[in-house]
Amino acid sequence: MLTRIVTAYSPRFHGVAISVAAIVLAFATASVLLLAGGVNPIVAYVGMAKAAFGSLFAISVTVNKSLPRLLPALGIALSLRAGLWNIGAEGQLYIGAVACAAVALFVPPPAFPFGVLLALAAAAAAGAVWAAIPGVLRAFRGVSEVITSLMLVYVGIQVANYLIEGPWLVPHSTFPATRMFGSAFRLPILMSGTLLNAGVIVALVAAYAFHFITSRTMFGLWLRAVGGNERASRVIGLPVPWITVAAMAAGGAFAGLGGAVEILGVRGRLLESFSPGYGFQAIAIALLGRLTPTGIVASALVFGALEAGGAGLQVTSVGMSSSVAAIIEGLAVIYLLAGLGLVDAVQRRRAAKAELGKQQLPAAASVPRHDNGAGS
Amino acid sequence: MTLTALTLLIAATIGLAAPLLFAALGEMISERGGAINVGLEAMMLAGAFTGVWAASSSGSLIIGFLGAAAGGAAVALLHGVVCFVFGAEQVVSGVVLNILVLGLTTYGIGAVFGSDMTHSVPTLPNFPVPGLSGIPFLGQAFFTQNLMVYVAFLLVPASAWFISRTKFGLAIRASGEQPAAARSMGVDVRKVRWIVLLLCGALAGVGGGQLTLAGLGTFTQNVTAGRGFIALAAVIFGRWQPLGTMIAVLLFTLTEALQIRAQVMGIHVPYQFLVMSPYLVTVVALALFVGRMRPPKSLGVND
Amino acid sequence: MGLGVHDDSVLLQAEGITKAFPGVLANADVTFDLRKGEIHALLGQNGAGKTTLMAILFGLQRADSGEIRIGGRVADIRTPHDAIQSGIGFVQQHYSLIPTLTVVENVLLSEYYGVGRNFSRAACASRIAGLAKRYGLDVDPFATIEQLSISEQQRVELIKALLGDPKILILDEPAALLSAREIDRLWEVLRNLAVQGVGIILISHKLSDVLRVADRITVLRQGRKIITMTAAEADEKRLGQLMIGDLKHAAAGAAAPSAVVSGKTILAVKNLTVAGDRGGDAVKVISLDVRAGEILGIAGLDGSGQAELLEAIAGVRFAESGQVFLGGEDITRLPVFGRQRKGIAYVPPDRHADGLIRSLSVAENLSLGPAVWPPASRHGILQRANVAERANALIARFNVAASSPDVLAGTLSGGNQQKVILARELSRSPAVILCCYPTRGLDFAACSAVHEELRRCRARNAGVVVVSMDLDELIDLADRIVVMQGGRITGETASASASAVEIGVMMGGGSAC
Repeated sequence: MLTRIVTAYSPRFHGVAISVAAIVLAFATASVLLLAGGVNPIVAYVGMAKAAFGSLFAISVTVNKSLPRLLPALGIALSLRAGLWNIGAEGQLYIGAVACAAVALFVPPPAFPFGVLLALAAAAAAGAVWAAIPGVLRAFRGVSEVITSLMLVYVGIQVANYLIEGPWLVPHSTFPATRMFGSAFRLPILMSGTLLNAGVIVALVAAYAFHFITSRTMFGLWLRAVGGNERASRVIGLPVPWITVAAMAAGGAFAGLGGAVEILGVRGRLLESFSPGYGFQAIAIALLGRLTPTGIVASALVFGALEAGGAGLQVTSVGMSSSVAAIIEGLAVIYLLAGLGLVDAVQRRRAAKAELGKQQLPAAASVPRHDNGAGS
Repeated sequence: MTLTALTLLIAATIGLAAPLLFAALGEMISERGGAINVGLEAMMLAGAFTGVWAASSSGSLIIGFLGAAAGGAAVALLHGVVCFVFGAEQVVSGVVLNILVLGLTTYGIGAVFGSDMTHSVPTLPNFPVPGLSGIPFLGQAFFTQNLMVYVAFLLVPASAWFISRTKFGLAIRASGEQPAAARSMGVDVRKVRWIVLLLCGALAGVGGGQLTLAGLGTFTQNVTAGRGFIALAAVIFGRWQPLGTMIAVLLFTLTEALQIRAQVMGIHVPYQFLVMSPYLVTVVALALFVGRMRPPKSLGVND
Repeated sequence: MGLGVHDDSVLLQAEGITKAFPGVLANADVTFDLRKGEIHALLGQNGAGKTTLMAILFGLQRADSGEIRIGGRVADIRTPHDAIQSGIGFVQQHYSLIPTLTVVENVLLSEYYGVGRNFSRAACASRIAGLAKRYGLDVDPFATIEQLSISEQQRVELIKALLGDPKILILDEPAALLSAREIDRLWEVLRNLAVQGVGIILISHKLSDVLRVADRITVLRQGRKIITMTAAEADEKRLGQLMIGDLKHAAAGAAAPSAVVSGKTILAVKNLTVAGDRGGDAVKVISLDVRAGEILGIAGLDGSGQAELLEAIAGVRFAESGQVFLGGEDITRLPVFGRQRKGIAYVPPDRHADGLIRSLSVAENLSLGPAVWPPASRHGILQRANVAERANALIARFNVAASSPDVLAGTLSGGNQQKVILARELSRSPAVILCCYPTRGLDFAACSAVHEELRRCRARNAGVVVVSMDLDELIDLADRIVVMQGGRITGETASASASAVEIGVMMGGGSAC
């Protein structure tokens, strides 16, 4: 099973073609639904594309919407290399947001850019800790990280809610949000006339860091070793429990940064329910992106475009646009899984045939191979 | 706290528990068989939607609940296809289904009900149990619920009997513990897992239907709001036993009921801590009592 | 055989059974018969073909050629179901019981009982009680399997087998995990069954047990039936020798081992007890020493605890009690990588599952393990050039047939995979090398290469421990041979003076005299 994760979802397995096909198919299927709902899909998609990419401003919005999906997806892909499912990215995202908000609200503003950097660091650290909890439970108690990280999502969200509605609430306000952060802690706009903020830099650095860790460090090799064969890794002498915790923590750090980028870049304050499920969508993005940085960036942009383009979807009711986006996202992953399963089955059938072909009855049947008891 | 307030609290808790109980019992059966459904939320949500749809189209609540069951089962069917046919990990499938079903049901509000956003259906009336509901205090608290609440609680002993005393229940337990050994003894593990999955979907769907048809009378976007995850926690916290699951569900629902009443009752805990308590408590239980929390050995393994 | 009245006392006849797997001839023209009420033991080393033969009888495998007659009539057994219908019951070595369910529930599930028939726990419990009384198999029908001891679990498996009212009962290594008293009880039960007319086939490699309980003994070796004799004609020495056959290296002709090993003790194991996977101890209070510049061979049949012993010394498996000393230093508390740093190398028996990461490249596999860090990585960053250089050097030195160091390790042949594992372990010049079945499944050239490498280790004064089931290999390679059986050391001999008879007896559990 573990080998399958590392090899099956990575692009060695028939490359990006399957992911692209899956996304295209998803759009096609969704258009059927749109038709059924009385909407012209061509018009709708063109409208979406315009809203997402029609102007520099629109593109900047799309990019902004892809960032808080991109970062947790990188984290999920990182943990997945070690065979660990970090389902709790959403919670780490919130905790990261809380941590950077704490810095922004309570630390006296230092000179630029140290304020922002401190806040980002806090977010990464907090996300790492939140993810390390399921990591420790998995490494030392054998408890499934899927369940524990999932449960901690809702704990994390409520911690954030408590702080927002309670001690950090703007005095005399009923709107569940903190005050706006000072400019010392904001990610500055990079291009005037657009909403493009320095979060892009954070994301690009993170993507490069992902690439660097996984392909240029010993730690990255260890992650892949543990993901490839945990038992053998133990025998070979790798400190598997610590690698497990570190893998989860690293994933959590990325997720925490995802929260920070949204809070420090776009929102400017911490508010309730700021995430429409970034952390969960990140799982889909990680898979569609086949666990590689470029793939993940591309998939995150697609998802970001879906959200940004929603306004251009021109459907009648509120909530419809995000729902169509969700449908397309969900279908895309299902088609991807179908495609991967199909390819897997075909490959296995071919391998089995090859195996049968190899089996000839040994001509010198009376001379057994140097066997040491392999067959009995 | 006055007796009336306590009575009302208990009545509210029991009523609120019913949707969760359906889903949790369904999930318990599924997990005993070895299949974990992170997509339980999706099954409940689907059932909530199809329940209202069926009820409003047919005018009958019975059809409504059947529709709810069908909706949940349909999601379970998709889950099964993705996991057993495509070979994907159960976790992935669950997460994706949550996303997909949320989108589909939200879209469905507009598509199916048109501009009538708050399409309402008559809800299930209370059904006082003759005789028992007359008992002072207890009667009000326990025996003046709607019919499906009684069904939900009756499912607890029913599922207990099903799991431990029937032939199929035996096959379920064997498949969840040692599918290899079970297979060598002639059990069709694949078939067992399919059946429990669909059963779980149907029950979760009914739970979702209970939420809309017996409570709200309408379907709103994301009406289940994470109840599926609480149900998951309840199964774990209840140690995969019917009675334990019921107690866990009741405990978790109590905290939910308390949230609203906290200030009134003079409890000064911030309500968010009550909301997070089911999840936190489950993690703590898993962390501390690893020895005694014994999940079915083959839980989550797709083979 | 053939024409004429069928001899009523013959329950089963197998004639000319031949079965080949790719590269291995498991059974070669084996004949075998079983009489009513007899206990017929099937003796042989691992790889001799006993389990294959029984698998064929029980429908788990199909013979390439040969005939099976049951009760005089040819039986076409394709599945276990057919076998059960023909009156054969099989108690396998690895029980297929579900630990959290009760005895009754396991029996109900089992296909012997027949799904669809009376599903009543009470009825099943009373049937179990009836069988228990008849054959002396006491077990609490309502206890869960995990509450039962191994011998009680075995009784459940026996009950499952007996439900089908078999005329022929096969038991595969039934005494392997039992205590002496439990073994006595088991023999009583079997005697009981035999008296009632059931024919019993007993697979075993414990000579003493076999001699005690069997009426007839058939010895298999390398897929062939060597002889069938009555118990009266047999004794331990003779059986041991028949099991092993003639050693290619006669006592005096062994390749010159290093001159009298005079090095100090590099590895000392004291009173080590290690739990096995299925309850009970796999290693029972073992002490042994390995000297620098020596190759110690550990012989013994599979399952005698050798693999677990090596795992415990390497730190992969937890030792219940006892100590391990490396060069005088107590390393018992150290984890695997700690021991590696001190100089222990371990080549696991199952290279597929444990030795390599198949989804990583050869170069990457060679870069794993704590002792490799510099120069393969500096401050955690992989030094690509160094990694490649190191990989190429090792591939050349160990003669690994890989087109480039970047191919996936999983694509290499078995022999080359083993070479990669050895390269990884040996490249850091460890003080102690532990190898478990290092040449399993390798062709002749690869074997020689491995042996050469191990000799080189000895030459530079490392201590080498080799576990192998091939006595010829051990005699060729090792200076000293220690024999393990049932978790204990049953004997020791210098390889220069090893004799097949002696070792065979030791492997069968007897004591060498």
